[in-house]
Amino acid sequence: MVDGAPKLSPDANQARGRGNAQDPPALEPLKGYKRLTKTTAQILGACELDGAALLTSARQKDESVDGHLSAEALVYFIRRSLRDNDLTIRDNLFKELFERCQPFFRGQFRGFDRHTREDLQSEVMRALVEDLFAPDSRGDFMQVRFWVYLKRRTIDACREHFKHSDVTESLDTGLLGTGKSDGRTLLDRKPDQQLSPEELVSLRTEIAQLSPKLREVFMLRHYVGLKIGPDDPDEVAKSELTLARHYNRPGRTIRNWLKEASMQLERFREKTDGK
Amino acid sequence: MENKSRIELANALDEFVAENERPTAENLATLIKRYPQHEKELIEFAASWAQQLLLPPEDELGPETEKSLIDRTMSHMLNIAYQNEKSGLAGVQQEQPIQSLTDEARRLGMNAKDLAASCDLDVLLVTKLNSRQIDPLTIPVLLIQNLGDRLSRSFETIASYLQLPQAAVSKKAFLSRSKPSRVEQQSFPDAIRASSLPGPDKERWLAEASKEE
Repeated sequence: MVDGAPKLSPDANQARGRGNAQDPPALEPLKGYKRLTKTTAQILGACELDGAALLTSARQKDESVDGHLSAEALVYFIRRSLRDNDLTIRDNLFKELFERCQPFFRGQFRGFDRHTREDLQSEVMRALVEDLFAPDSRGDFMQVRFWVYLKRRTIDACREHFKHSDVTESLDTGLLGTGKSDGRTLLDRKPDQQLSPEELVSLRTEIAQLSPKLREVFMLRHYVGLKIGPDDPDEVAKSELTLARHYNRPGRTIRNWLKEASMQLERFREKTDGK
Repeated sequence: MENKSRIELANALDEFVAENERPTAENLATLIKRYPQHEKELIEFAASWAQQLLLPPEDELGPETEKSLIDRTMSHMLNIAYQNEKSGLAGVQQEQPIQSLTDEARRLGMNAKDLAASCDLDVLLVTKLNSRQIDPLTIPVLLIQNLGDRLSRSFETIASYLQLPQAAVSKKAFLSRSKPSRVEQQSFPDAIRASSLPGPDKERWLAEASKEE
């Protein structure tokens, strides 16, 4: 579990009958998570505000100003407005939260064309709304680490999109043996050898041009650092975490794919250098 | 079931992103050990994450497109709210609160003994939970989840019930000359120790409770 033990919120004291008149109001517990102390303090500080004052606080973007509400606290008040059916607060808080998300999205969804980036961003925002409305615990993590939640949603939207590229693209056909390398570059080495972070950064424009599936294998090998795995097909399934096991292909095939990726990168580089 | 698996995967991915700066073979292997059923998705996610970290940043969509995306999402939000309203669901809190755990069990054709057995508890523990004689802060999340599953109620509804003020209790109320009174709440570990559960069950619950201390 992330951030805090999975226990009932200590803010539930009053609800269970131990509080006194001075105690803050009780907050609903989260399933498996505990809000950060800072978030709890912000929520409790804003709980008694009337609608107009709450919206003023919500619109305060400067974190150093007293009364500022974090995205996590906004999520709490959005869910409260849904429960209380307070439409004015609901609409304004949703809008505020969406506006705060915009700077995060800038520059995201790398490797996709503009149209797809728009679609993906829209998809993530729709999923955010659905999680906020969900009666189960789906939205709980948003009250703990909102920006981690949004990052996960963004990466996962990319994953889903890449996954669908499988339908039209196969690594086994039409890729191998189509290019030549001049054999004198950093890519011309045994595929078992992992590229350094600096080498990867120097190639990132070219990597973006690889087909999605080939790019995936290349990144898993050279960025994540997964091993290639055994050549013997009988050993593949038994192996630990390797590319051979993930793609259910012998190590030899994975090497061929990586070699193909390297050759394509080299061609892209030659084209760029030639311009 | 599918929904449960999706939530589990989402939790695993949240954990992955929250605990690591970037995906590596080591942190990926650690996570897969914890969630072997999601190995494929976790590896795909690591590849997507790696690309989002390495590839050159894309151009911004621009203020007009951003505004239009916000408007479209607001419209999606209003649609969901309208659908919920139409189907009689006001918002996120759609369940009626619980009046009594044992009444809920009865509604599903179980008596207190059945409920106790299905949650690896004894009847005394169920009685104590039912009258909120156990400090809710010491009750393991696992037990709240189990009760929710058995009673077809959400975690939140069960947790809210366990946090209500204690019910007044009186032993042999029909003979009592005094008013029913409230007793001091017991911690969950104390209640387990005082129960008639077999040793291994006691140990398991005590271990569960200590995990959350």
